[in-house]
Amino acid sequence: MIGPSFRAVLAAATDGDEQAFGVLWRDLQPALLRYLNAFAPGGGEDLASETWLRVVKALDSFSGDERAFRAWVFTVARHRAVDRWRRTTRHHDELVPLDALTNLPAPDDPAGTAVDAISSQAAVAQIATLPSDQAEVVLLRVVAGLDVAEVAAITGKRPGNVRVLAHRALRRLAQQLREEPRVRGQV
Amino acid sequence: MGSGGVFSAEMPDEPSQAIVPLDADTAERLLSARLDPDDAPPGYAEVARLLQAAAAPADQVELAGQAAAMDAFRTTHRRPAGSTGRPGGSRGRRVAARGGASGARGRVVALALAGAVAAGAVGLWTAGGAPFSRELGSSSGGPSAGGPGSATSGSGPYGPGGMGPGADATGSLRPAWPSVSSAPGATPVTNGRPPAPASTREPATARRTGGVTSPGGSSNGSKRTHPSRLPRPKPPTVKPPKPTSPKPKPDKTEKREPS
Repeated sequence: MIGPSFRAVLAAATDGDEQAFGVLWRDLQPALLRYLNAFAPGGGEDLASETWLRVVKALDSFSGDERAFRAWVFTVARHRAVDRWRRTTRHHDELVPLDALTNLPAPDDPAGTAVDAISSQAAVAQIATLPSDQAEVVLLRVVAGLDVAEVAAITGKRPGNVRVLAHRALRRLAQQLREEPRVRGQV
Repeated sequence: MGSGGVFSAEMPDEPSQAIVPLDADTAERLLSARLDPDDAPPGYAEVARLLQAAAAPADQVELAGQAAAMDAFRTTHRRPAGSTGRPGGSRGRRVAARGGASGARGRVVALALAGAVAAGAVGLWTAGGAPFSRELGSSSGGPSAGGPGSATSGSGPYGPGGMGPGADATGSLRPAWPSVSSAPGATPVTNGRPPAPASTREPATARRTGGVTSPGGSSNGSKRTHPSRLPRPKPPTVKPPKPTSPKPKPDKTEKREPS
């Protein structure tokens, strides 16, 4: 998060200041990439570029605080991802790279239990194994840093529904991480 | 997942029984990646680690595309500065560059409009007997102004230049697959521009079709004839009024006077 200087940064970026735009980009691009890579593995970079193009073109039309800006950028990103998904006409669950899942560290692996041993890419790939609505809610909450109301607005769901999906996702993740050694043993 | 596999006999019947249900506060701390794995409830320590990893700060790989993003930003922001300040400026240049075809098309349109003007004016002229030159001036304020094709009839339900029905001034939320403008608290940003309201189109149509038609008649069905080929109207001939009293017959009076 940029913090109190967000309004000044946004105003400068709207006026064409490249450094200000760079601040916005560096703040949001990693989360954007993680979110988009979960739904279009390998296509996250392209989708993020399309998202930023849209954002830059409409930057002078935006007014709001930093949270609203984050929500807006992720709304644009979601639009891009949905368009990509429709173009490919395949269910995006099929696009999750299985290699990334098999490379996840096992919970009983001493190296894997260290927090810094789990890469953000592997963590996002693990989240992407959830049902798509649960995965999206978790990614928007955890990766994008949005609250329940913002996620509900982006996904078109009610806040209560978002909470239920998040709870189910957490439980399912806990189950998956407990079962992971046995699942890996079957492969 | 995995319970029906080869090792299902070795697995506990219901592994989720060991996972305690989460309270709302713990779930919220997990989802905001603020819950330390050591403080997590049983079964959720790995989840806390996973979510913290997902929310980890950016690494250099994720920021590798900054140069390309800056180029795109520079290109997007320099384009308006180089233009003439009017969105249609480039289109105007393209139209000007096409030259020949559009010029010929313009001449055809001009001829058609001239014919329509002539037909309407002649209709007025022949109907009312007014001079042709006066009828040309009546297209803005004469009897044809305010008719069905008048420019004054262009105010639509949203007012002139107002927002169309598709525009959303409040940034209100939309159902699934939200539009760009559905971010909470954000000013609406529609894709491109909102659809042009009818009120902005109607005057243009009116300008094309109105003001040159004769009242009660249209130029569409009338046969267009050049004014110089039309028969000139005959000036009204004034005949001397017939005398009401009978003419005196001089022959008879002359015959009576002597008597």
